[in-house]
Amino acid sequence: MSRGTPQADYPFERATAPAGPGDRTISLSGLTVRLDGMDAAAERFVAERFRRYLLGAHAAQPDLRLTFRVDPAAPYLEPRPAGGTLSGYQMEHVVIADILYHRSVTVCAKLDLKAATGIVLRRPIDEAVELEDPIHMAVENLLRSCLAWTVLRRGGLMLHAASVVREGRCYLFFGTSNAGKSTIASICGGQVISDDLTMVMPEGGAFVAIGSPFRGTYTACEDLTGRYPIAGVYRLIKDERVFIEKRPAAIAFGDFVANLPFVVGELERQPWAWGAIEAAFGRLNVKYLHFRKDPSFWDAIAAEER
Amino acid sequence: MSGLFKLTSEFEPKGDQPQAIVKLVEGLRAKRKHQVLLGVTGSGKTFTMAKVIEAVERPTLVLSHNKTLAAQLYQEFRRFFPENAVEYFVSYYDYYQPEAYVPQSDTYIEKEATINDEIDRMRHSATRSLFERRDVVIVASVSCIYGLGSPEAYHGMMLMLEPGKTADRDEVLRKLVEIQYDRTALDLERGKFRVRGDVIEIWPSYDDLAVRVELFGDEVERVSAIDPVRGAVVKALHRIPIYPNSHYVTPRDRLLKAIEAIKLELQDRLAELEKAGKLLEAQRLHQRTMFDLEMIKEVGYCQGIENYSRHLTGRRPGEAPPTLLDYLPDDHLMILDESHVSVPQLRGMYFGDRSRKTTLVEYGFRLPSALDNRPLQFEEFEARVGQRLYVSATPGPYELERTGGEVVEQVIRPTGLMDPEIEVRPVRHQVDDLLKEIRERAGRGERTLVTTLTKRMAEELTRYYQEVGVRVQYLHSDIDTLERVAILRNLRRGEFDVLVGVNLLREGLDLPEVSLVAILDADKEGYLRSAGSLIQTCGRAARNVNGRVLMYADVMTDSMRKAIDETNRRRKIQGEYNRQHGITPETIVKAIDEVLGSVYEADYLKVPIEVREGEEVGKRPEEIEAEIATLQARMNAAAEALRFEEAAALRDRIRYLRKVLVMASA
Repeated sequence: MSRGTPQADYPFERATAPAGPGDRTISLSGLTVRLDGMDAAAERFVAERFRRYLLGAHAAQPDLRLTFRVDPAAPYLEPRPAGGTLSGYQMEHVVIADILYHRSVTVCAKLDLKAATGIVLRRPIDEAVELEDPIHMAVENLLRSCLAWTVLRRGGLMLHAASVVREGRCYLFFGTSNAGKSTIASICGGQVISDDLTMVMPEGGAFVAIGSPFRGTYTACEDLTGRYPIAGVYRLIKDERVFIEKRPAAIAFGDFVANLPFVVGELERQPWAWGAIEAAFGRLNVKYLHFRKDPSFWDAIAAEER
Repeated sequence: MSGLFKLTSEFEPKGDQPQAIVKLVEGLRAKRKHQVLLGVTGSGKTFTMAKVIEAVERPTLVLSHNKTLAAQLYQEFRRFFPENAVEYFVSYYDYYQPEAYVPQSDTYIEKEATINDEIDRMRHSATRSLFERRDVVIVASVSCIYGLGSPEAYHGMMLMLEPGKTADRDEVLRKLVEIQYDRTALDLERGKFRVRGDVIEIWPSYDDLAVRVELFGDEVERVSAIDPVRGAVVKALHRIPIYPNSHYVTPRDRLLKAIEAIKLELQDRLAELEKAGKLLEAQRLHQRTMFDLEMIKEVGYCQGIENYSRHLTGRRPGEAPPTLLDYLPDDHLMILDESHVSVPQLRGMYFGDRSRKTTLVEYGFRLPSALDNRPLQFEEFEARVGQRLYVSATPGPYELERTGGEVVEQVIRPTGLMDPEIEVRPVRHQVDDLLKEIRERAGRGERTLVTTLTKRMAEELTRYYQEVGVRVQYLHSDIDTLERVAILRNLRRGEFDVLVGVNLLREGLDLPEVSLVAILDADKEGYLRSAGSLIQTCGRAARNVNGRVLMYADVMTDSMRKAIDETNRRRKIQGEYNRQHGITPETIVKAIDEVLGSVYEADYLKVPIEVREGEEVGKRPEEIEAEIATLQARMNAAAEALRFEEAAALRDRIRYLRKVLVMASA
């Protein structure tokens, strides 16, 4: 499926024309992302998806700057053969030295992590390819992927977790797909930041969850903005009994790292990232929450807090 | 709770039906594993079964020992439960010869396949109903203890989802991929599935609705049919099988593994055969297996692929194949109709199959693993079946032993007809004594059935009676179904008065015109002179008010004693009932054509299909071909309507015309 390493087989310098006139800056509680030269479809998507996070003016020194270029090349990844495939979405994500390479069928990007600037190549709209990798998937995943590393370099994390705000404080429930994040979000009865991916950032020696739009299927309340002190971090386990347990730090750390999408696969090549993750893990007292499909887990959490 | 089954009938339980129904239902509720309903012919056993099913509200499998009775039961239950799922599950080879007998003509094979498709569709419908609902009655032949026979089952390529059952999400996903579904992160399309956390949505290519599976932990929490476009739940499902996205693609690696395994077995077997000096057998086996393997590799299928089912499903040697019984929910009810025949038949199936297959294996037609494509052994059957209700006029030792001899009786006929009176006369002058009786009855327009001990005796008796001017026919076992139908019909019409045979227990012999059943040499113990057989044989005279039985015997055997006592006991109950209710029994002689309208009899009807030999002489080949096409359409229609005898007759006619065609072109 992959056609070799991205940096070797793709000449990013070839495309120079902006994809379109669309420039936007978004701010996630002060973390700013500037997207330049987007084509109309990409801009429309960004304007809608980040409606609550758009900045009127452009940040002069954004935390991340991506410049879109139009490029008439063939699909960046070969569309999959039909019949018995397990991967739902085709994407490639590699970090070599300080450069992040990301590509899906219609998008190909290179991000210099040190300079926090990157180039995004977009295929001109083409229906056949659009079906494989529609804009809302292509740009969303690109942004998640770039932000995961941008945030990490600032000591923060994008955690595969549902995040629920209760009385101004945020509870994180993490776990791989099928662990129960969406289930928790749907039964928690609180304000939900996300049921899928939550951005956490260091703040004054502790960590806060950042209001952001990276949701999975949850749509019951508006996107949240702002910063919420973290009250608890729980690894989800579906069970019949409801209770909370501590597990040895080594095990909990392993589970924690496994739930850092985009980052976990690259740790071997990016050993520096261990430091940032360990620092965050040290501050976020990770516990295991056995829960069933009802709000009784809140009682367990309340008991734990006492 | 009420109303899972909705029984539609103009009748109310009568006679001793109400008490039988109450007792059986109580027994089932008390979780008794075995119960026997001793019910005589004509007492409305099917109605009682339907009432019991209605009361206990459980999925039910009614097992019948022959396909004709199965077809009759199927029709009856369909009438009783028009709003419920009444299904028919018989082997597709029941009506037509397996392909091997068919000449190498393409169209011919296609024709057989069309028929199989229809039976196959009904079989699929039966398994499907079991997944989707609980108000299911399946009427099945012993086919239900054979491997399911669908290619999916061979390849283990079906994914079964059921709330409450354990299912690891990743396992489910892998399985979906294996059966050729594509995962998508986008819109659901036919042949694709989508995963959102613990919710899996699948849209099978063969269905208009998609399936949503909700898991919690390693358990299936809910399965529902959804509108694939709007995502709205249409209905909740009890169980759902997901069949392969493509019927014709088998997972390559699995197939290749099977091929390797078959090759290994072949190698070993060839070495064995050669060592034993069976070179011809080795040669034959090598040729055949290699040919099959080539077919499997190229087209994914070969004739008789079921013989490789062990390799294809990856079962261990000796392991039982998956059968319909495996699809029954745990709390199902099993009714064994005519249990005195069906139980021994179930027992015998495995051994019969085994001996036939052993011959095939021995002579190099098949690999030893073909032995694992087999019906269930009786013990395996027992282990898979829950609560049972045995129904018979003469329950066998097996079922009586299981219930400790306890039976629920139903011996009263709503028509008031009684079991026939039995008289025992000495053997000495049996032939002449009987002749007198026959003449007397023939004079009244009544018929006589005679059963002899041996074939030879039957032949000689027939010849003798013919010589003295009696209109008599011999019904021997080599007579095929169609001819038998004609004979029985002529007997009813009065074209002759006496029918002689060895075995009068065969179906279709319940004729209202028969007022006398004569059992020659009744005191010679044997299978057809056992108590059960005697009672059944006597029952052949129970449709006529003047029904009588003459047993010619010099000693009173235990079997005779039992049969006579039992018959007298029943007569007493029946007579009592008639007296109390002021019923005067009357022979119910349905017009022959009217009777033929019922499915049961229709199966014995020789359908006039304008077969005039020689009429095709002088016809042009195109005309004959056109006629074949017409006949083929009629045959398919007939098979679909379960008029299999008619279909078979049409089939023979088509075969004949084809031969004419071939000869004309030669």
